[in-house]
Amino acid sequence: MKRLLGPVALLAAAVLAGCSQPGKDDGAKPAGRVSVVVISPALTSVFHQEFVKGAEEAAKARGWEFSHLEPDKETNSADQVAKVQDSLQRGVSAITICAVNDEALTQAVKKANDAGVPIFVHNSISAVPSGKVEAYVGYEEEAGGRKCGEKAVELLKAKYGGAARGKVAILQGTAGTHTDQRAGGFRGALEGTQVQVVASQSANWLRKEGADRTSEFLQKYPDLDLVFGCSDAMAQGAAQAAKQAGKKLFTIGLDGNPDALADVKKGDLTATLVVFPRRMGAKSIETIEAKLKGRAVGPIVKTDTQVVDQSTVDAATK
Amino acid sequence: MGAMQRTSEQASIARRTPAPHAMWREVGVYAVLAGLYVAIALLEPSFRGWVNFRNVLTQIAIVAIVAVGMTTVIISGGIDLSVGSVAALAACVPAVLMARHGWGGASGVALTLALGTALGLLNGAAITRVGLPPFIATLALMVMARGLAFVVSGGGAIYNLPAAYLWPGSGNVAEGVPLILKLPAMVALMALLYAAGHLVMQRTRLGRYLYSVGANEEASRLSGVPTARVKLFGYRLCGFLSGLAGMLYTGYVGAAEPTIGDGLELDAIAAVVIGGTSLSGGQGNLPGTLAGALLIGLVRNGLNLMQVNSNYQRVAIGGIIFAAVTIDMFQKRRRRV
Repeated sequence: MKRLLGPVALLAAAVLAGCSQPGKDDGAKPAGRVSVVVISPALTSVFHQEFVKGAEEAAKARGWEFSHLEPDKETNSADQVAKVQDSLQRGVSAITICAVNDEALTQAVKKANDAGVPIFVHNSISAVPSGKVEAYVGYEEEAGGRKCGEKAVELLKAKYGGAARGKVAILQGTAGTHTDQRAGGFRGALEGTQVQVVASQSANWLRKEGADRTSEFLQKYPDLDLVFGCSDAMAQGAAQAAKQAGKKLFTIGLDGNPDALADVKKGDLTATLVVFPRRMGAKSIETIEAKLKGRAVGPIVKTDTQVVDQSTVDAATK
Repeated sequence: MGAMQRTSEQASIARRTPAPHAMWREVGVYAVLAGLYVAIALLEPSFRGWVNFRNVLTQIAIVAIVAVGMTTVIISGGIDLSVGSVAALAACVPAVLMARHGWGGASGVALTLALGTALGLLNGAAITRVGLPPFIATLALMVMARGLAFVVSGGGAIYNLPAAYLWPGSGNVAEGVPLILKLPAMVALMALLYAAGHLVMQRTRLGRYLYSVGANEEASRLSGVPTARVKLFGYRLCGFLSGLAGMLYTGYVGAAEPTIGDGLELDAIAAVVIGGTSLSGGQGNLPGTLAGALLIGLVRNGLNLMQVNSNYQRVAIGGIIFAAVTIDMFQKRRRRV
């Protein structure tokens, strides 16, 4: 028994230390100070971690009180709604949320509206079915997917000379609006060309599944030219699988996470769409500030995106 | 009880416990496996051949390796829900040390395996010493280790790991040979682990003790089987293999991530159950588990090649679990009559 207590206590202490970090700004707040809370679907992806960092910097620069709350998994909609409720209970000046799904969003907006707290949506610009959202801050995912498709056409043109042709496969994320819009935009850009989408499968946003699905694509279509991943992680998995199979394959991702940019620089990943999550975080705070100062905002605040490859990655991301 | 007497009782329980290598009786999963292989091969030309079979073996290697430990634990009457989280933590801690603090590949490998084993031991101790139910003890570690993996990694992927650490998950047994002859190191490792594990389970006293503890713990204890040590062995092995799985995963995708092995416990349990191992302990074997893992892998791969939507794939795999266990139950019932 005694031998056990040491490690158990250590683990417990470490977990508690880990848990208390996000809440460290939650102390007693002076009256009148602006406080804002960011609610992400989870902090399991680099995108949302970067968004939070960008928002935090911008909020701190304004002397605001900043906090963030999120469920442990990107599927836990009930917990996300509970986090909104908790924030409202604590009393905040504004909330910005990237919802797990439409249901969580509708619930969250309703609760904020009832409490009279302005609520903003980030990383999505499709309107909520009911309730009042002050503004949507995000990039157009379909246009982003289209830019990736245009990059694919450009790469295949260069490969085959003259008109673009060849075979491409798409790695989708878990079924939902993100996948539909990104993959839809990508397909749209290929219309009217000789480029064929020969396969499209879900890799559930995961790197390993991206690699597994790509080895299957290559099995069925040994002359595959390009794989588009609806997220960086899946495209990075595809690049890894191509390397394993000894094949030359163009790989295009979408997110522009720091590790993916490093892969683009090394030449492991052909290209990725940078969506600048930190800038999106800052933009959300700017929008909230404008609203709190009584200026008109939104309803849609678009943030920019850019496709980068090995030759442009440095210039675009410094 | 004299020492002599105890030894003779231990020997007698070792003799009396039926050595369940009656594999020929458990044809269920193998028949389904063979039938499905032929069926998919007829429907989908690109499914056929060694190269795709090797893809499948590579895809299932990580789950199958963890399932060796899971089989052992389940046969001894327990369960380990923490395998996926242990894999993540055991990979992330050394990865941070290697990528950011200059640790070498060999020490990284050693720490991964040691950490996995230590966490397995923690499970085992919580169950055998504190007396927690296996489900609860390993559930607690599952949640805790996942949280810690996120804490130590900072939430993102950890890159720039030494080649030696990445090799087991990405390298081949022999490099510089034609692509068709290459055998991924983790597939070879999986084969070795199953062969060695099967020998231990069927031919050693430890193996027989694992079955006897799972079948009837109280009777085993009264007959002099060191039940706590036997169970502890299972969890330790499971932890060790989970750590190994974390390392293989890291090598396979080229980076360590805190999300490694999310859902791994359910995949491993599915392979074990499809393979004919009883969740109530005391019954089952490793070849069955390998067949179970292969069954899931082949179906997933075949459906992917046929471009079947992944939601339907889940329906299919759920159906296979249901069918495999039902067939197995009927076979056993018939045997008893």
